Amino acid sequence: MLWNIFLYELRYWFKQPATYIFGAIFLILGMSVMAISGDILGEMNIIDSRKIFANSSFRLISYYYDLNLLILFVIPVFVGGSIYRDYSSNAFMVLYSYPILKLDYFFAKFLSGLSISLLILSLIGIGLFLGSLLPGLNPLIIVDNTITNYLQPYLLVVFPNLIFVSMIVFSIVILSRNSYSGFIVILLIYVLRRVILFVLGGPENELMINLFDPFGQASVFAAVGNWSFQEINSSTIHLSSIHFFNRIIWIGVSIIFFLFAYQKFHLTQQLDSFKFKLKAIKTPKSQEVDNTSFVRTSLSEVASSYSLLNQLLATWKISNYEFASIIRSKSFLSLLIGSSVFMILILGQVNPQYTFRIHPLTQVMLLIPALFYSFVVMIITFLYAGILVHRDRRSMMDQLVDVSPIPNWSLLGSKLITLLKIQVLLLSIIMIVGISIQTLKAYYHFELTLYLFHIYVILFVTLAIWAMLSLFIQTFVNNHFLGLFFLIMFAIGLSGLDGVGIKLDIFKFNSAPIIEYSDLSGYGDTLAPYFIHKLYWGLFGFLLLIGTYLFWERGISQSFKIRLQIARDRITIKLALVGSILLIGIISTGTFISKKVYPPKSLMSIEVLNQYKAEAEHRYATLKNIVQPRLSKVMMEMHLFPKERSYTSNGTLFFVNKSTFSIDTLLVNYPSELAISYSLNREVAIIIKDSILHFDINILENTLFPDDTLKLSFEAFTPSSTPFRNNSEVSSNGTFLLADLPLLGYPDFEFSNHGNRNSYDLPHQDNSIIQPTDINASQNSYVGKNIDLFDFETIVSTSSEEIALAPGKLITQWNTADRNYYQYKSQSKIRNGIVFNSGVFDVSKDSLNGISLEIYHHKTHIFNIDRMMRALKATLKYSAAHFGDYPFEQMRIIEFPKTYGRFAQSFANTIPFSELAGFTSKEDDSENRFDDVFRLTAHEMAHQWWGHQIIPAEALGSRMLTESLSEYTAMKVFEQEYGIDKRQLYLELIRKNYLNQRRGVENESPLSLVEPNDGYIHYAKGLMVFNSLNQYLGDETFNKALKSFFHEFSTTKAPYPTSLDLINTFKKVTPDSLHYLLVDMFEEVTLYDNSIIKAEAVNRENNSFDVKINFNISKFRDMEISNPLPLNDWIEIAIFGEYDILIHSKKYLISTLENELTIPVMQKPFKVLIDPYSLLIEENISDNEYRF
Amino acid sequence: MSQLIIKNLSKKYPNGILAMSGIDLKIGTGMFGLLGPNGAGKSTLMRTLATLQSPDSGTIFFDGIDILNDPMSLRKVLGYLPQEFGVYPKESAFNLLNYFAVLKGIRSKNDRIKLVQEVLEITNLYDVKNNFVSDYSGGMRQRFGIAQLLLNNPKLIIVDEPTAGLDPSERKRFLNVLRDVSTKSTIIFSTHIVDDVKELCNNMAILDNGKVLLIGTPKFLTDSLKNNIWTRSIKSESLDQFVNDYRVLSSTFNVDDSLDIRVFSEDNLTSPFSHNSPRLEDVYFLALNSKHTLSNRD
Repeated sequence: MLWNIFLYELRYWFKQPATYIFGAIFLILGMSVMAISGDILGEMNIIDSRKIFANSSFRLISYYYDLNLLILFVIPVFVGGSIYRDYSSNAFMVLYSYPILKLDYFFAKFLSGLSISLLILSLIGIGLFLGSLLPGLNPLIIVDNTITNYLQPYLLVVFPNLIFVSMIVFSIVILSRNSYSGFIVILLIYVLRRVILFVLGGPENELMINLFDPFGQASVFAAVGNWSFQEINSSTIHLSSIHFFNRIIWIGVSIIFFLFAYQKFHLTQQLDSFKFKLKAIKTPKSQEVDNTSFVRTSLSEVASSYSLLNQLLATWKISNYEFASIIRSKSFLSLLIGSSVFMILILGQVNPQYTFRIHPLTQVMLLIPALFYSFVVMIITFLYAGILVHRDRRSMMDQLVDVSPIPNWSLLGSKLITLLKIQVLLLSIIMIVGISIQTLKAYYHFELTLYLFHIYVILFVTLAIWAMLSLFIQTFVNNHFLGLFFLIMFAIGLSGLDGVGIKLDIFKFNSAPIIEYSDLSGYGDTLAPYFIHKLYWGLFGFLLLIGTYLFWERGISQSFKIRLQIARDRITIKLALVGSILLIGIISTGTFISKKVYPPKSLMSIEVLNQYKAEAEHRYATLKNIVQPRLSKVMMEMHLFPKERSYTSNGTLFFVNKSTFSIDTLLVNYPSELAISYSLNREVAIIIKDSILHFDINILENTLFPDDTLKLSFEAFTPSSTPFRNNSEVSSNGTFLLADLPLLGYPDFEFSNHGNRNSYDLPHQDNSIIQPTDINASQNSYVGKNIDLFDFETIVSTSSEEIALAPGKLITQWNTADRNYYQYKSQSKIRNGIVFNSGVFDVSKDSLNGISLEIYHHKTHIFNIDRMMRALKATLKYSAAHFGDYPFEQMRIIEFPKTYGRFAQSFANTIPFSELAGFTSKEDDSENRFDDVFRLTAHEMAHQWWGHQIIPAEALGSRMLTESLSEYTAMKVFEQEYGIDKRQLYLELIRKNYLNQRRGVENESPLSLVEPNDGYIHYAKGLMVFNSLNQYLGDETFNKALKSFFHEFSTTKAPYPTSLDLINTFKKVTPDSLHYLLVDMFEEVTLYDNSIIKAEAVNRENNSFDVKINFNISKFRDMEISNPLPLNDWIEIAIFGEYDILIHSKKYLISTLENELTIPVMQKPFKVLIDPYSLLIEENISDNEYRF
Repeated sequence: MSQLIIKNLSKKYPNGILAMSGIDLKIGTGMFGLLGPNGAGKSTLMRTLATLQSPDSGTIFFDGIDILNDPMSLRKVLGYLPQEFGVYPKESAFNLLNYFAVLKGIRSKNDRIKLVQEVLEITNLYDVKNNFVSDYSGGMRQRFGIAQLLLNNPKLIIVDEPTAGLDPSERKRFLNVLRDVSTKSTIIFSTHIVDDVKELCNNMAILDNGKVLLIGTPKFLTDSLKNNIWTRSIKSESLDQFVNDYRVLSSTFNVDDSLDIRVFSEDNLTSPFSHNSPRLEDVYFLALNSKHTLSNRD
């Protein structure tokens, strides 16, 4: 019987056009995904070292996750549909009276739905496969197909997820007899997944996430995390045990649902709850038949009104009815509860694992949930648009409604209003939960207007436009499920448009530039571009509404041809007029956007410009190493206009010929964005004015002799910014601006990218940055050519509300013409990087040893001022004691809006700090957390020595002298303040960061040759290396070496030190037995793989023990794990007693791979560890420990 | 005096079925019965009158309203009860009627409540007004259908096979309600049950294969068969024989397994045939069985 019903069901589905339409959708989807990933459009810039084949096992699995929501939404259509259609057609009344067994019916229905879904979804794989055979794909990223790679995703991902979700959807539909509940339960699982990832997320919890990700996305890729690009490309992903357990867990959960539903399900005509209600209806006495006497009642005369006003009112009232019935439904209620729980967990930041936490500012409450939650509300909009459009027809009330004298626009309008009300309700959760969380956390600075504006204007506008589109698609397609699918494909497809070369927001439905809010500068320059785009898409949305009106179905269902005819008949002159006005509006806003919002088109195409640069490289070849006078003094004025977001500046730059040659040619570079003019104090003839590369070649009439000074005077200004476009870096509040000066030297335009050099036949450049061994290396510092440290003096002005700041001591300040003026002069020479800040600030001041410490911050951002101040003082003390003096009389930390980024940076006596980087992060000193603001402030402060006094040469390895040493210094200061345990907490985080980020890198540079952008090396590995060296050499020896390096190499002019100079300094203090460390750590990329094979503790008399350890030590160079190096290494071995008390720790000289050691101890040992403080770099340290 | 004038109405479905073929009708105030077997084109005609679908050709006017070109004007005075209908689940009659009142343009809340109460009283649903309509029995649901169509005090009421599936007492009650509201409006009532028409309608037409076979008052039509209806009892085996020899309109079994047949004959028949007075049923079956005779008769 089961088999018969099963076959009957399959036959039914094979007769349905929907089956074929869905099949075709997925086939085409699969093909297009592969075609686009295979670069059929030729849009991709493929970097050899980081390419992943489009048809590798890894990518093939990823595609299914990209399409996950679409895949899952098949389930309610077919699995839910198989049971629902018996209810909707009332067939169940007949069916259930047949002699069918519950078991047969239940499982036949389920299995047939499952089979048909699997069949449809298998077309994705076939589509992907066919796609990979298309001509025109890029052979660099398409390799020979392996069939197992196409089957694997089904075994690992699609089929398990299908079973898991199907069982839940089937159970819910069978219990609720509502086909929509299937979609809603999937949405809830989606939200649940986000909550699980968030609550369990964090560096410590990979295992939990792998186990509890409902869709197994984390666990299926669990192994991939350690893979290099080659491995990702060549390996097939196999079933891992963690993935297996994950699948077991979730399929187990779904089986519970399934069994529950089976238990509750009966082959009877009424649901249990339903029956109860029927009993409750008492047929009143008056209902008894009464043929004779009949009270004739005539209807009172009541005015009906069909005026426009009444129809508008009716539209509103109808939407009230619809809205009321939706919010009473169980499915909507569960969405509401699901969303609220999501919001509470996310906004409450309940995850204790995350290292970065933030105070519950209003902007944070609005920022955290916005993206994901807007997506969820959008999908809910798609779903409910279908429910509303098809509601009358589904409940068979359409004929009653359609004969009533209500115009189509009113029906359509009421559906739109209902959708908008749903959105408003769902959005309100953000505000309700946000304010509750703020109250709970005792943060009482509620910014109600910000909440209201952000939620009900900014977020709502976008969703409202989606509502218009969804009504149109649902009406036009006229099939709820297909409509929903088209909408989701449309929304997901939008994010793929970038990949096919459509990048402008005016070509991507409902797109707009990202909106950002800062407590300092508000929405700043992001608001107007956002709204002009929304106006554009809103007008488009109204056009869609006209389309919806034209295709609105009234009366009996018609063929598409007739609907088209009806639509044509519905076009009236008035409607055509409105449509044309909308169209004109769209075109003119679009034109306005492309002219006034998007950056002006450059006159030259990229190809022409590249060609020009290639030729210029030949033309100016002789100038490449030209000797130029060097910048030695800057006197300038900077006038900031926060309201206009513009500035003017002028000044004089002093250049001195510090060479032994006479100079007769001057290359003056000037910034391209500025309107700038300059003059020299000597007679020159301009022989070349290159307006494309922005530099002039001047010939001096009288040569500049050694030690002669050249004065360059300049004037520059930026045009006022418009609300739609920024023309300068000036912000309305919180400006963070780097001076852009005309400078001397060969301009920096040459291609560094291999591809470009090859295609323009330019000679191969080994590296765009020179080696530290190069004889010219020490001539220029890492902050620019022909610039030494210089004297600095400035006058800076700003609006009367703001404070303006620049490096140097404040000499005087005044106010004229309603503007604030400040004069700063630096007592010491400063390194290049002239920073100007301006904003409405509160100031916190302190001082140490006559050095004024100042923190300029937004008035409510007071959370971490104390931590910052402590860090400044501690670093100042530590560095002055261990390295050298602080060269200025003041130190200023200045807050800037997050629109500039989330970072802090050190300039001469100035540290601009992002509002998100330190001012609003939530620090606490509980056991597993550390004070990151303190650490970051100490790091930036340490740059005043490492980067501002030790100024490395522009060569590979330069950041080892700035970032690595600042990290080291910050760690030492941090350790003094918070102790060794907290230091280890930070080091462990750094260790993981380094190991995570080096994965997938092919040729890792050694620390001494680190490139400027390889942060994982110069921050993370650099810190680990200096920490290890410190431990091996001893703190005193190590710091003494640093001090001598500082004194020998701190400088204000060339020659500048390189990483090799520091290594040489260390060589002098390192005993021969440890010299291998310097090679391993600085000059090579070295890793260990150590492990304890076994250990035993033999009890001797009077409670003393012999600890016998067998362990392996293996050292190897990067990528050569199978080729261990010969050893003569000192390895620390530690033994701990009860309560983790250290009872033995010593470094042993190890010279063989396999070792055995017996250590006598005087207490009962509990565990033994190799390299207990992770001084060596090692992937897997879990086997370094043995517990007795 | 309202008048519905239907001229030359035709409709052919894409599957080839000719649902209406040149229908001409004039219908005045009162109850008009549209009698025809299943598939005769009754529902197509009713839906076309109710502005839910368009014919291929023809015109319909009601009180000067061109229904086909100005459906909205008709909807203001139209009440329609479709053959099958549903309602939103889990909504009470009171709420739903209120909703329909809004759709029908009744602006003031007080008016709506008053009107909803009145139609609930007329249809005898007042006591169950707070129950979900989706839980109503068939008869209650049909009366709810009448209640909703009364809300705009319609001048033209169209009810499509409303008594199908009702038990006798519910059917009776339903017809009473319908009769009660019929005095002021034009009501078109389609059915395949002859008794419905007999009991209610002051005018009627018989429809089959998309064509009007017969128009008249039930009484006139019945009287027109005076002296032509004969009846006798036969053995059930010989029915085929009689059907061949006579125009048998209907037959009913007796308890002893014999058959009573009714036969149309303009000539006198001899015993054991005996005269019988004509019934409306006879008119209906005669019309369906022998269209040519009827067309002669017109």
